[in-house]
Amino acid sequence: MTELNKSKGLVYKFGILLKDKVSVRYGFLASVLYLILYMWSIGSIRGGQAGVWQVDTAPNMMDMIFRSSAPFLWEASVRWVTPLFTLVFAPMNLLLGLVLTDLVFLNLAATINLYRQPKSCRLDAGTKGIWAIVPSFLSGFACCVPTFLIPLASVSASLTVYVIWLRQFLIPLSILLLMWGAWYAMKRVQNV
Amino acid sequence: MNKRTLAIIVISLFIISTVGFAFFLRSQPVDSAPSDIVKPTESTESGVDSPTITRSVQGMHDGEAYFENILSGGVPKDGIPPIEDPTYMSMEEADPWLTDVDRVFVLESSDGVFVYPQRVLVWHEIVNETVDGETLSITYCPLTGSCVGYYGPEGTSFGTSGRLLNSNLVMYDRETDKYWSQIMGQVVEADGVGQTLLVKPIHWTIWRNVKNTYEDVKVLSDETGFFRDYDRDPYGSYVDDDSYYYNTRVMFPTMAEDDRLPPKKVVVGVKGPEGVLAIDPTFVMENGPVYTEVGGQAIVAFYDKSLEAVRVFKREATEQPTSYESLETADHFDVMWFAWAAFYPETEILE
Repeated sequence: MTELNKSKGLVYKFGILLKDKVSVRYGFLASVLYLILYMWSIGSIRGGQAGVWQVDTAPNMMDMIFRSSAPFLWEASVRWVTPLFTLVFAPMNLLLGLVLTDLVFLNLAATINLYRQPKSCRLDAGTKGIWAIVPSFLSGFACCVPTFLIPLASVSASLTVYVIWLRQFLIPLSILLLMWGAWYAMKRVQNV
Repeated sequence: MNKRTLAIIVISLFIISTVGFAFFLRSQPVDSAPSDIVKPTESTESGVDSPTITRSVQGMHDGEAYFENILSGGVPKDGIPPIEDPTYMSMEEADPWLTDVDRVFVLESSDGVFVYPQRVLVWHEIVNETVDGETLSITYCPLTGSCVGYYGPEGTSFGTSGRLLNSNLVMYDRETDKYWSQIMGQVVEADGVGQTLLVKPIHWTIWRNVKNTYEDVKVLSDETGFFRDYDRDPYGSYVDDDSYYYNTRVMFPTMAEDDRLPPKKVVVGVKGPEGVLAIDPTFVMENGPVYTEVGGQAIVAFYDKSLEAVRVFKREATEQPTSYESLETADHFDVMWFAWAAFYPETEILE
């Protein structure tokens, strides 16, 4: 039975995964949390302003959509200020965030499904893909130079330059690792 | 995760990092040692019709070395977006927004007194403006703590290149696409450094001093067209002793290091026709006015108690003026010591 399931396509496995309500629920919650953290890490979610409810749009809104401020980061077109938080909306950043979030969801939900299987039926657990979210966070902390690098400057100025060079590959690396992790975990999904 | 998988991941990351680092080193310039030979810079045709001068500065590196040491800061051209259409607010409007100790940059002109909050410029680095009928770019580099006003180039404007030289902002002009070093104020090309932009002095101070000094000012608004977080400085804070602005860390490799002063010590960098000088502001505060010379030009440095800033002026060598009202300003600006010394390794210090 296990071998039979393993040989089925990923679409079939995805159907099985969706039937596992517990895995889907926790996977969804965790991936929403990831999206919030990712948006915070790139500065799209910030602190709010007391007593302020306001929506602003950039004067040249359409130009901003594809205007890059750093590798895999784009300028915002709309800002929503509330007393609790400020949401800075950049369509391309959100699109990229959603792609990452989808992959995180697949990784997490499939992994939870694996751990919900009876131990005797469980194939090799697939938590590897989860680590792939780390580089995406490192990519996010950006300003004039990536802020997360400022503490690294104490180690070596040359290292800073190297990490800045490496940074342009972090998002593609994250996506590739997440895809690999999702594929690895999904093919082991079973009915529970 | 089993040990075998972990080992594969660690080994893979190690290989990727090693190969990447090797590739990176191959693609980077080798740091050049300061040349012992004083090489006067020659005026090269920048292709920009701008109010510039030719300066032959003693104590610089070999001209080509500057271009070779330009590094990527990790952002694309204008990824740090200059402010093209600045809007201003009155002192009353700005007061609830700025705190008394907020760092601001003051530009005095016939059009009035302009105030540029550091909390805005840290996200934009350049404001392209017209002051007294002339094109003027207010440029600020947070990594080197230098804020300089540059006239011209005529008919074009400056953008941020996304590159750094000695941790300092490298601008580009939108007409010719050539690099301009902020601290040098000179075009930097493969065959050396060339034309020098004319400087408009801008003074660092705090918002409280502005309120106590001027009756009315124009304060750069945070309505910049970009949704940056102007309540947060990505490098830390000027009121936090442990932030980037005060610690001894330098972000990027520099062409020279000089331990005569602490790296982040703020000096007043002064440029003369044939030389440069670093002045310790404390020295001027305690002894001012200070009469000296830089690169063949007699100068006098005054301490402006109201702004808590140093102002430097040209003077006749035989005169010792006690006020600056009728004097012409010398090219000068505040800058962190490590950066000044990296550009001008043979600079003298007045302290």
